[in-house]
Amino acid sequence: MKGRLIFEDGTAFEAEAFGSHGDRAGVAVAFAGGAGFQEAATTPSYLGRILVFERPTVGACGADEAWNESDRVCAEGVVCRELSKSVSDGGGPMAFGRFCESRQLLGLEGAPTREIAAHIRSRGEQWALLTTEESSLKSHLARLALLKTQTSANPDKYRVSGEALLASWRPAGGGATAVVLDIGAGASFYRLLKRHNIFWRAFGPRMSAEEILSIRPDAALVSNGAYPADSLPGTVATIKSLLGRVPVAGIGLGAALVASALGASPSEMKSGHHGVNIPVANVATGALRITEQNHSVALRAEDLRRRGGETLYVNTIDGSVEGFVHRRKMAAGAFFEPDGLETIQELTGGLPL
Amino acid sequence: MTAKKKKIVLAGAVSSASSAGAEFDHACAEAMKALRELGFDVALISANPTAASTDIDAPGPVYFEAVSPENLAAALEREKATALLPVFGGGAAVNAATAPAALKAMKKLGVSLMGVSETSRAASVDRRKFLKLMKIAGVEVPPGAVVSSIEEAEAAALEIGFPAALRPLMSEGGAGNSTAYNMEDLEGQAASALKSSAAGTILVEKLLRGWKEIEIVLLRDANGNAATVAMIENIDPAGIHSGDSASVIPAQTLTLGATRRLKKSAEAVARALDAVGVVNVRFALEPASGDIKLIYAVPRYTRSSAFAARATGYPVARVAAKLVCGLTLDEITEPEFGSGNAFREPEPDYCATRLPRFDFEKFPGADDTLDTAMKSTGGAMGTGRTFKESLLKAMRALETSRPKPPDASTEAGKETLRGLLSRPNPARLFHIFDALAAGMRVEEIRSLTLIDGWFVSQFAEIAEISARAGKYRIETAPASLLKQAKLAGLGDEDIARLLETEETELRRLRKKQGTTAGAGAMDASGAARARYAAFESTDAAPKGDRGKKIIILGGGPNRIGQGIEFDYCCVHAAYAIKEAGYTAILINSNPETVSTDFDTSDRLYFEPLTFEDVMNIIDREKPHGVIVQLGGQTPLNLATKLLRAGAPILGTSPDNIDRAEDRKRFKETLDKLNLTQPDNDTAGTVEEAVRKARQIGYPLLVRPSYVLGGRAMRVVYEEADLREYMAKAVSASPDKPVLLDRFLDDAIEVDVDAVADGERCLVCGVMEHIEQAGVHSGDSACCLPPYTLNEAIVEEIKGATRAMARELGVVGLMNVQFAVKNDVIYVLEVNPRASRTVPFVSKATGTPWAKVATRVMLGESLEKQGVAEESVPEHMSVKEAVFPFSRFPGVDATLGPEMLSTGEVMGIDRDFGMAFLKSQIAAGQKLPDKGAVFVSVKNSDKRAIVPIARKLIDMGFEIVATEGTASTLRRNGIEARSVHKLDQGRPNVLDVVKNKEVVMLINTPAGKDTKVDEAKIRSAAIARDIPLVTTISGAQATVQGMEAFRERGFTVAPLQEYHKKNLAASNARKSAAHKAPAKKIAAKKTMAKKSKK
Repeated sequence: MKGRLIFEDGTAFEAEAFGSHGDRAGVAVAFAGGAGFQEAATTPSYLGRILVFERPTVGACGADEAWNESDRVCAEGVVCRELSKSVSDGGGPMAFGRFCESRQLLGLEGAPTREIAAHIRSRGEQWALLTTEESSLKSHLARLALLKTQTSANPDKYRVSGEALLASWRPAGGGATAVVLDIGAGASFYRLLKRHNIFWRAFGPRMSAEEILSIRPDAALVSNGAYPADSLPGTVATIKSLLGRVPVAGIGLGAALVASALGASPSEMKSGHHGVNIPVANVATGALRITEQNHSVALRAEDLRRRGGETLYVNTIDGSVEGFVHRRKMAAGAFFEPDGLETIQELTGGLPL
Repeated sequence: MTAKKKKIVLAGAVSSASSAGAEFDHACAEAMKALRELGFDVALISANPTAASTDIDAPGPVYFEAVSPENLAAALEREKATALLPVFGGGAAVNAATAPAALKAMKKLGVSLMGVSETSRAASVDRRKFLKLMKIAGVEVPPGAVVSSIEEAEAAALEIGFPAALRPLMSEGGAGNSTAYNMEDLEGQAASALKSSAAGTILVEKLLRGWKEIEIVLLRDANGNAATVAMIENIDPAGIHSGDSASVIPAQTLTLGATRRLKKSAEAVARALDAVGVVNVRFALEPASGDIKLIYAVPRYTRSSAFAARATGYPVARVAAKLVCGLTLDEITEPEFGSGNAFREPEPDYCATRLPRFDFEKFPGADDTLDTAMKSTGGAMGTGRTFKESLLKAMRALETSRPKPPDASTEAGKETLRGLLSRPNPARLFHIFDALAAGMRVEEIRSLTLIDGWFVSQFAEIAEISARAGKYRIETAPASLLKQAKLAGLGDEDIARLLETEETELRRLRKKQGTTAGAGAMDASGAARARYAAFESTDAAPKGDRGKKIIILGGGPNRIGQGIEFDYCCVHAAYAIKEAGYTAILINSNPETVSTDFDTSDRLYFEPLTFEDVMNIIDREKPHGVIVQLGGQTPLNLATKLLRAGAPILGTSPDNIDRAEDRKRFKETLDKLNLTQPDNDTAGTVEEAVRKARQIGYPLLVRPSYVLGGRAMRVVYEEADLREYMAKAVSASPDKPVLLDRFLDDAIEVDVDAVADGERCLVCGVMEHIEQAGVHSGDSACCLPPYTLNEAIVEEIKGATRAMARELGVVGLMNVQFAVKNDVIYVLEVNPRASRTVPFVSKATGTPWAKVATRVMLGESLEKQGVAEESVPEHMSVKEAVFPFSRFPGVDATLGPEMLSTGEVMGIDRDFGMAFLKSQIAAGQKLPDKGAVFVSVKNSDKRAIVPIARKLIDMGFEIVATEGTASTLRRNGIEARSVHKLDQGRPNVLDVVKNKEVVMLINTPAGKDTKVDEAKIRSAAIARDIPLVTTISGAQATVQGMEAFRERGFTVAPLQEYHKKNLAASNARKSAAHKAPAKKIAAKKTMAKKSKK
């Protein structure tokens, strides 16, 4: 079955469809990484996105339900140059294509992904329609516009969490307690808390500051997520009233919300940081690290500085802020995961976690 | 940055019996560039004349000396150096630099060792320390023990169980590595491994059979920051040397979890070793359990580093050199990174597969089973969007013919096939296709080969497309299927065969259908000039090229007969093209080269050197000219076909190339010029050959036409030999006749390189061979200028060369081989292309001849360039070949017309004896200063051996000889102890050799009957590192060298000093026109240091 990826600007690419049929709409992002395709497709922060995999062959290691980042497929679709038919020794119990079918994840294979990724980079991330329907470009674009409006009208569509995948768990004695403002955390976020023996209570983005403080947490954490950055003014307000009263730290989109609460104005990048090889530098120590990231938030150091914030990590390629702290207000943010949490501890000189 | 102004001496590649070295050439070239950029003075020590890094216009002095502790010390002292940097010259260079003698000298001179941390040095010799460090790093190693005797090795193997991997500590290129499956294996292997270890210890380790192997190439700076340049996944399972393993970048089959764990572990290992620079960490991974174990960690540049660099476009050597100087990753910028810095991890959106190239057919009798000792001569890289495409391109790029599949219709044939799959061997990957064609299932192939099922499935997918295509003919094949086949990487030639048509037909058809190759940039590291062709819509054609576009065809994978000497020529061509203001575009498939360095050309295509792949680039680039004469025989063989397809070939016309290569036409040319050839003829059948041989007379030199490196070349002494040879040779190349030449016994061979512009011809250099005629020119030592020929003969040779160049309309380089017998000059062969001696001649004469030739091809006459005729140098330069015999136990080490050497070294000094001696030392011969010399020569050499033996006696040696030789010597008043031949009872020659009772052997091969005995003796000598001389002229030269050494010891001096006047002239040339040869200058030698050897 033929399928097409049609960008809002009218650029269209044709390839073979797999996994499902029909049409899906979402912002197309280019993902750079040689593994972790299933993880990306199920992580809540890619909710509503169409993932264009830059690595030509996808799924050589197969799929395994144990690798899921949430209990559902979050991406709207996947686009690859080649879908692996077979599974490597030591890979998952099923082929990636089978996984997509079982989850009704629509994909394209045989697509010129190098060209598509270049298109995204040069024109910026934009909405696209992934479809198996035969129709004119004009009606496809109209359909895309409709789906986009519907989605935008319902931001709660983005409220998915990976927390449900973790078995119930009580921390060993002496662990800290955190409140998580979960705007789309993947399972590995919670696994990390577990590894650090942090007990948590997770809430959605609408939780009020007073309710959070009533729990008397040691810290409030704002997770990564897929919401458009400006669609959560209420959450920003909540964070704002938490500032100075309890340590607050955000990861990914959560870091952007914390920055907003501090008064900074993070903006959308033309094309974001999506992949496993994003280089960042600690500006204080000079230490360098390669990180995994998934966000499209651009935060400028100057903006942050004017709000009393301190830049601690920058991207060594585009210079954007990747980690910051506001010591007086006990707030911090990091745009990378899964080691973002460790980084927050490092940034803040140890939040009481 | 923390480093102070320094003068750094780089230890280059030690010429060893393995063909390792090409990767160290580009590593040293890049490192020198990087260090210069940082403002350091640099010098290089390496005896390899074929290397581009050892060029006269290198960024610093170049010492053509063996990389030994003594020579390192001498060079450091002479250069007043402050540091020694050995990590770009391979393991042997590191061993030489960390040998006690070197460390002592460095301490005395106040020289620091760069790039080798104290921790990693200690860990390399002390297993306990190493284990402790790995425990801290949280990394497991396979069960094993370090032992220093055979008994301990046996005990260790019993403890851990078989199969056991044996690895000498501190050895080079896996020399002495082996796998023991039982106690008997172990005994022999432990002995040879102990010998290969510079530390006298070996590691006996459990072989992780069936585990996957992953190698991580990472860079680490002095602040502890690390970046992974590439994860290399081996297609072959654990147990095969990394240089011999088929491998792919990026890793294809790993899960996210495994990827993260491997990277973290590799960083932990590098941290534990306190390594700064490039580190290669190799892990084995058990697919079922996900367990990983460390196989080895090498904190220096390796062949894997080269593969990682070329596949990702990351300038590993340049960055590593700067890291070693104390810069941090984020302080380093290179043009490859675009606007960013060196701190990045390339994530390729393409795939690069490297396949090793083997030359086992050159060594009949050698076991071609692959194990932990490296046996390949080089490798080819295929680049494509998918693994399938890159694999098929790499297979094409190997330039080997596909092995004949066993007949799988019978059960016996199937069994043979199964054997070929389960035993690792050079053709195994090809046999996977045979097995699939025979109906074997992926699962069965997987369990036979232990290759990951995913890789086997990729082969199966290719086989499936082939099978589908095979159902059609050219007229009926659907366009979509052809497109699919091209996307999968199948070559036009393969598809044409399936459709039973001609390659050109298929090509025409698919182009009509719009299936043409685009190109993608290998820009995983940022910006890149390297590209690969792919059959999908990809990048737009590059813009903004300067002037005319010139394409240079490279030499492909390193093999015996075609190595980096041709790469040297291509590199110089690229420089010359750029200097002339044009755009230089290079096509090559060999990642271990300087030609594939980022700034050698303006644009580089990593493509196989086949008609199809080259034409894809020509179609895309539409160049003004294509240079085919510099990359060796590979591009030359394409010339006619490319010309027919409309490619603008520069230089000597393909028709004239054919005139030189076609026997009949060449004969006509020589007759016209009144030049003599040994009697010769051609024959297409056995009977014809026998008949013609009777006319010409024996002995005869026989070979197939159109070959390089003397493939399948033999000297036959009688009809039976000839019949046997013809039966084999004719099947080797069915459509080309066999050439028969009268073999000139006892002649002197002479090689001449010349350059011509269609009008004038200049002789670049005349080289007199040291071995007699009959030894392949690539294998024989030679001296420039000639050391025994008289001036009249040399002039006559030069005259003949010029006449041939004129007659053949040579534009560019030409090589002629002559034989001189009884003052008569015979023309043996003319090659209207760059020869393997061009870099040697360029370095011996101080003129960059490949550059001169390129400018000629671009239309600038010799006169306009102001290049002078070869001014005979006042120093002597000797080139010697390096052989891989020690890699192939049991193989006869006799030199003959078939080329067997894998490398070259050069010795340079004021007189012949010393230059020869230096070349011998550089080639790894440890010439003795006392003891017994074994002498056994054929009858015709008996007279010549007398003065040689006398000199040996005078130097205090004792002579041991076989009865015949001994009685000759005694008759001439030379005392000689006689020893039994093999069939005369014990103790015999072999016992004497095996007991190391002799320190050197002079053994010239006699007739056919004694062949087997002699082969045994020579093999035994090589296995014990006893110097071996197989020609009488070689013996003369050796003795002369030993005498020279006794007289005045050993001094070192850089190449540039020998060429002061040439350098001055070339600088002056830019302003003034021609300059008369400068006056004699005395080679200044400030120190005379005795070498211990």
